[in-house]
Amino acid sequence: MRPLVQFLWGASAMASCAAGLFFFRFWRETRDRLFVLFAVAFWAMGVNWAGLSATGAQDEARTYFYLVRLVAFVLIIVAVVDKNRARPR
Amino acid sequence: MTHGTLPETVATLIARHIHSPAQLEALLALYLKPEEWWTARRLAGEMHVPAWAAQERLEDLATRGFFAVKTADDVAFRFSPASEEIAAAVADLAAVYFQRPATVIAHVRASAPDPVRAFADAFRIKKTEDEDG
Amino acid sequence: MAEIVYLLCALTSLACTALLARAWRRSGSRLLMWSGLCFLLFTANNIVLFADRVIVPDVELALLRAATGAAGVMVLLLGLIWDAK
Repeated sequence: MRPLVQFLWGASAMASCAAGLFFFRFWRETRDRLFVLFAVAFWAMGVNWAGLSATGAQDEARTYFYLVRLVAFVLIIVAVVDKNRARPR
Repeated sequence: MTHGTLPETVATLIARHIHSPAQLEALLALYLKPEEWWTARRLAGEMHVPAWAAQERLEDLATRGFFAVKTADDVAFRFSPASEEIAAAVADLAAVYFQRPATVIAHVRASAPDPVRAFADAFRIKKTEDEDG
Repeated sequence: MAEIVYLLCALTSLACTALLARAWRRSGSRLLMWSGLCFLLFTANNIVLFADRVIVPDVELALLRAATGAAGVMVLLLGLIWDAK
């Protein structure tokens, strides 16, 4: 089972980085700040999952990787708050 | 891909208000029976969609000035254009649609909001009036 | 500390799910549907992470943790590739 979990973490890391790349492209096309924040957030999630997978971690919480997850979701919160404070385009 | 051209009033109407085939279908359904009050359930049955989808279409078109609402025991909608121009445009739309449905559908599809913009706009908590790109 | 983080992430994901679901109902744009599903799975993922530490610490939930996260981000990627014109 452990190999499957590690595989899923690795797959999540790849997918997350790819999703971040899409958001980055949308930012370049639209210059909407929300997208660059989402891009970095999903890249952070990618780092989180890649780290878990690469180190073969047993417990996500004990390895402080959850702090990276926190960064990712804080960025998402910032993006939503920013979207609602800025003047609508 | 070329699609035929439409009369200007119709093209403007579509660009501003009709952004999906479902919306077109809902508008025409009520237009063709203007004396009748439609509930979401009835429209859902006609269009073969879930009731919440029909409700969204009806509310959206009512907000845009096509339908009147009554809230007796059941919320119901009726075709009731807010101005002469809208009435004429819808009549033209219906006429063109029955002659050249594919052209009209193609225009409706083309006027759909950009999915990327729609994603960003989804995170606006308070919706502003009519975000026309 | 980690439990608080997972709870915060779960709430954030839930909020995003709600916003995307509302927007999808209004406009029918399929990208919104996929993204909404993604954040729904992220909500589940964070809840499982929280549950694994607080509610059922003796039960091994590693596979469920990994699977919900993976499903979420893959659904999003599917939507971005397929439906983001």
